[in-house]
Amino acid sequence: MNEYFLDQGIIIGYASSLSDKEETGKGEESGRTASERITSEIDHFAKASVMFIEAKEKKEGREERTFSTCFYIIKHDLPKFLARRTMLIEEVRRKIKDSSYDLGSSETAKRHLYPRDISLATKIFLIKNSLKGKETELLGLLITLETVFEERLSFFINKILNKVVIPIEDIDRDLMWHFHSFIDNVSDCNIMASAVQYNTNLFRITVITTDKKDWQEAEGCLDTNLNLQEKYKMPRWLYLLDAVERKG
Amino acid sequence: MKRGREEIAKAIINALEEGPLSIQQISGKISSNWSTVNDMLGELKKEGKVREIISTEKARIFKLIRDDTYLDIPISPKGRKIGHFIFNEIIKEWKNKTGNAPTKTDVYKAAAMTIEKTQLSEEIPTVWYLFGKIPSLIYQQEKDYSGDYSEELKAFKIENLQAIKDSIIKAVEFFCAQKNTFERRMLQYKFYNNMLYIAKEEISHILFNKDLNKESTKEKLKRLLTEFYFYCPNKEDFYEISLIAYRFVILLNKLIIEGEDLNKHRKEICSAFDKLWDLLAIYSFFDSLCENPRFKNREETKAAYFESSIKNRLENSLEAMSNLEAICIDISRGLKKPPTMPYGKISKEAHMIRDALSELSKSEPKSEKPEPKNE
Repeated sequence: MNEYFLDQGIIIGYASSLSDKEETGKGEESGRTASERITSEIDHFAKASVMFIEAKEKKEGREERTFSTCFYIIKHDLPKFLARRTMLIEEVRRKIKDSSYDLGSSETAKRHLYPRDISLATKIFLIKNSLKGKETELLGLLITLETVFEERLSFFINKILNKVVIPIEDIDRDLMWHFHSFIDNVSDCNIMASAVQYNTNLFRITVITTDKKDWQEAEGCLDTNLNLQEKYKMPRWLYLLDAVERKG
Repeated sequence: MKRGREEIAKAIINALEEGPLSIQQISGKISSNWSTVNDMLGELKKEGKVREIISTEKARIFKLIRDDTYLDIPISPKGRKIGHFIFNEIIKEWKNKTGNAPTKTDVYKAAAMTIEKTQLSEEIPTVWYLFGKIPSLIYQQEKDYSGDYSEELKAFKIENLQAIKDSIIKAVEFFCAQKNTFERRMLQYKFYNNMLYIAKEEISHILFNKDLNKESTKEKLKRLLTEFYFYCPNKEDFYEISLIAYRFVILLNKLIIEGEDLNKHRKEICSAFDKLWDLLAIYSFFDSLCENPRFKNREETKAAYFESSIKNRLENSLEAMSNLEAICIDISRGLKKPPTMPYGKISKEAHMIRDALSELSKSEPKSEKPEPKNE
């Protein structure tokens, strides 16, 4: 039985995919040239996430493979991420409605959105200029995209994921802090600690990640702490794009 | 000289006529000691004549319970008299014009227009509420408003009675030209260019009356829901409510995209929209009341008249949303394949927006504080 522990990037990538037909090149791609179709990193990861999941479903089937992830992603990171998306869309709505509104100026936005989120809101708002329809066209598109995203996310969690492991309160804080001495991002450290805790001698998992850099940094870091080294083993890990290219 | 119980009760009620007051303030106004005022307020509360709206260690604030204004909004005796006069004149003119008695909606529409045209809003605030713009004075259909008001209004120094009557004639003519209540409401919304109310009315009309499974109905509903969310207020104190409105729009879009039988869930959908509208309407009431100079302090006005109403409606709305959410979760559990963007919508712009939203996962700063180490 192959167990694949999925990083947040895979889950978001899968949910972000716009069409299942994109992979076969028969996408409903209005207004985009061939070179425009695969321009963004997000495109790569979205397509690759879908391809990886579908390949594993086809090749190994449900009896031979397990997709798992951790509670930190499902109960902490994803809800926060969704809440920020909601607030970002609300900020864009306010700006479309009143062009003098300063994105991110509301008290709620100041509390929950980061400076880079506001730049993304500006980016989205400016897309309005290339849409020729009513002022609500951009908002309509945002709502449709968000609906599909949430539904795909729901589908992923309910139908594709087999297991959610390591409750947040059970994350080994020493282990998490140890990773934090190598990696800045706290979320990544919690996820990493969860994956490591789940990986045991009896039961080896393969982490599939979109974050090659962090996992490369983490490799070997258990060796610098004897106590942790005795307790845990780093799991195998694969960078998503490599996993897809291998077609395995 | 010691005053009798009735005298003190009357003095307290008079003091509260202008608006809510603390025990200390009442005590100062009526020159009675704190303890006496406190005891009397307790009695008046039991009798259903006053309501305690703020109860803290620092202060207890009371307001009058009025059975003839919405949310106990204070209206002076002068305003009350003008309002009754206007109601009476509208009833007479409407019967004269149409041969029928006006409905409550008809009276409210004509009254709101008259009050604004004759600049009487200071006496009778007009507000946006559930079915449009209305006077804050309640029109009670069973009450007899007939009579000669000229002497009483003269005593209040209201001289321009003819101007008010002329305005009423025009308002009645304006509204009675429409076939029915729905069209009269829409006429008022279009007159004031209140796009939120127009969208709400069109959505309600579809949700309650139409076959929700027709493709053309679904497309129209999606468009109207977007417009409804778009026209929500931008004010800071509305933020939480706008997120609930957004949530409703997303949930309904989910049901539509999944090809679900919407007629089957009509009851839950209508209930959720009703509760959402209740919440939006009470906020509209509050927001429009604050345009009146007497109520311009938003914090005070909210605390005095709206705190518990908004809180209750927020809870009701959230509960209705969670019922709808449960339906959506059930449906997504039954899906055989993941949903995709609707045909013809995967444009260059859709990709750009998708990319920007996905980048949110990378924009969290590195310096977020981690939880404490194990002991």
